[in-house]
Amino acid sequence: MSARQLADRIVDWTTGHLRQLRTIARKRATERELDEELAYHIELETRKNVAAGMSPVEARRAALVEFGGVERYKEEVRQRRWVRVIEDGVADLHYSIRMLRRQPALTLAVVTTLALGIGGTGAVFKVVDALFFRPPAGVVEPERVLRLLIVRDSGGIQTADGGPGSNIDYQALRGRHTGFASIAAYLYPRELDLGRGAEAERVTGSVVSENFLQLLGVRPALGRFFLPEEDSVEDRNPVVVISYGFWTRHFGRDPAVLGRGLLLNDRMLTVIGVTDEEFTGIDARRVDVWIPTAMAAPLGLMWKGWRDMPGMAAVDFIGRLAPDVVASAATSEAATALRLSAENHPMLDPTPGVIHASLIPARGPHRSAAANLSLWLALVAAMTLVVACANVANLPYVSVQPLAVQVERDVRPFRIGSMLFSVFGVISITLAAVGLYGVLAFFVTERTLEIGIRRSLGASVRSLISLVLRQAMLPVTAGLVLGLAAAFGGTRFLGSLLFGVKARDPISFLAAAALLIAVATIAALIPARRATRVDPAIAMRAE
Amino acid sequence: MTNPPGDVLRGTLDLLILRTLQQSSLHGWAIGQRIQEISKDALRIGQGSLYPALQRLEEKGWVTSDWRTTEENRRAKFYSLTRSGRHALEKETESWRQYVEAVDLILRFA
Repeated sequence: MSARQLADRIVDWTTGHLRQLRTIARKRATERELDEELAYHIELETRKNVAAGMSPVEARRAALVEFGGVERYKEEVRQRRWVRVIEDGVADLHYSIRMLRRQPALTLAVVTTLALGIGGTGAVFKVVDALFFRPPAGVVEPERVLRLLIVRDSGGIQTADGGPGSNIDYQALRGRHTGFASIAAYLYPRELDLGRGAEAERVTGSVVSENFLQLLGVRPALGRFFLPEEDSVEDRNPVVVISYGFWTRHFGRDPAVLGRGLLLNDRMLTVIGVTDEEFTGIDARRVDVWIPTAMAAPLGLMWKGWRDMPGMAAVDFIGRLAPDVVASAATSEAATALRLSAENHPMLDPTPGVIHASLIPARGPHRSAAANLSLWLALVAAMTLVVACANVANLPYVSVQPLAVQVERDVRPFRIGSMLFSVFGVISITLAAVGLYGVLAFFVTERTLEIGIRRSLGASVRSLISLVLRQAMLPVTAGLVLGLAAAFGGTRFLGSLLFGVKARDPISFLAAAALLIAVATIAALIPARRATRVDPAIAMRAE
Repeated sequence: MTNPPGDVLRGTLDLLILRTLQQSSLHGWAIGQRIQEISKDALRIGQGSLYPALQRLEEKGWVTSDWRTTEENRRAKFYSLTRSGRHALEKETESWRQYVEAVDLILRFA
């Protein structure tokens, strides 16, 4: 085709379609024009018949018969138009709504799948956003607050890539002047038992040094935060600060909460304050209760006397830079403080270093397990979309060849129905796999400490992994049994809607079940293996 | 699928319409009339296929339409060939000839 021809084609094609667009805009006018055109046709046909010797009435009837009914042909002409596409879309929508109303079970299935799909994908991206792009909410000048990681290459604690330190390190960092206006210590949030007996529940608690909340710039919504003396002597001041969310959930924002007792891990703590509404902690997990380090051991979160053990490397640090101090200067001063302290502790690396990372949870040298997990989730969520799209593109009924108009019309609702179900099916199985992986991996990762303790008590790696696997498979098996039962019941009536899927298609079900079991096994196995590799003796060795 | 006598295959209809419009612009009825006359009544365009076909050709940009006044002072919609319509006519004619030739060969020698 020559360039000239191509240009002609483009111009003609464009004007043709512009006319079609105008057709939509002035549909009524077009309708009149069509009437006029066809009326003229019949008139000429009638005249021809009269000329051939028919009576006028006969002639007109013949013309109309020849035409086959004006309306039918008008309809066929309209069929050619984009207008038709839009009108049909609206009509299909009406049809779908009627169909859904007639079949509430189906509606429920569709709505649930949609909700799961959209909610799941949305949640994943929200987590990624929070972990990678936003500093924790409620922190004043978050860019001036750094996470501090201690580097030790030899001795009783080895954290060559930067890691936590001990409470002794914390004392050393606070005891000397550094470029930090203040430095605070905290332990990664843990699950605690709230209450006793039938009403007991799990809440998330974080152990923090008394200055932690002030350092971040968090303000009390009610009451006050910890005093230095409340965090000095172990087990002397059983106090707790609660989050705004926890206050709302458990006390209906009752101001009289101050002074009330909270039974945590079987110890009664007195509520002294509530954090402001925005602040939920500096990690991915929302913290319900804040506990001073002096109460960590009484609550069973740490060994008794852990604060005096230089080898108990369980403490993470944050520091707020003093005005006009750059991070590198402040961290090198902090390293000096630790070096001086190391002279009193010969089992530790004599030349420790300090590196820093952003407060944004997932940035810095050590991404948390939750951050890695969320990246995987995001990847899988993206893949879900791709798979779903590819699947739609490959569906055989999308490329139905021109059939008789009537057949096309009869088939259309079913095509839409089965297409929706295929898409939802792909999305939901993927989401199920993603969700399963997320829940199990998180569940096992959370138990790293427990696994370490069991290891130190002499449990073999093999027995630990099989323990974790067995515990993980219990809910998975229950879920599969329930899910398969529901699926068998469900596909019975879906079978009438879905082309190409028999009411009971054992291969599909087996494949889905096998996929989910495989995912579950991997999800439990990987973090379990990693947990058993952690050296359980680190804490003991320093004793 | 057998066509009733005088019925025109869909793809061929487009070709016939394009050819009819090659010399002059015509309105719908006249197009059907012209085809019927020239084919000596052998081909009758079911008018039900004529107007959708015209619509289709217009969408492709091969024909264009405008309202004109006939000799007897009536408003009628006249269809004419566009430049790409002419190119299409050439190509379609060529492929139709090849098709007929091929079928003919088979009918004679197969």
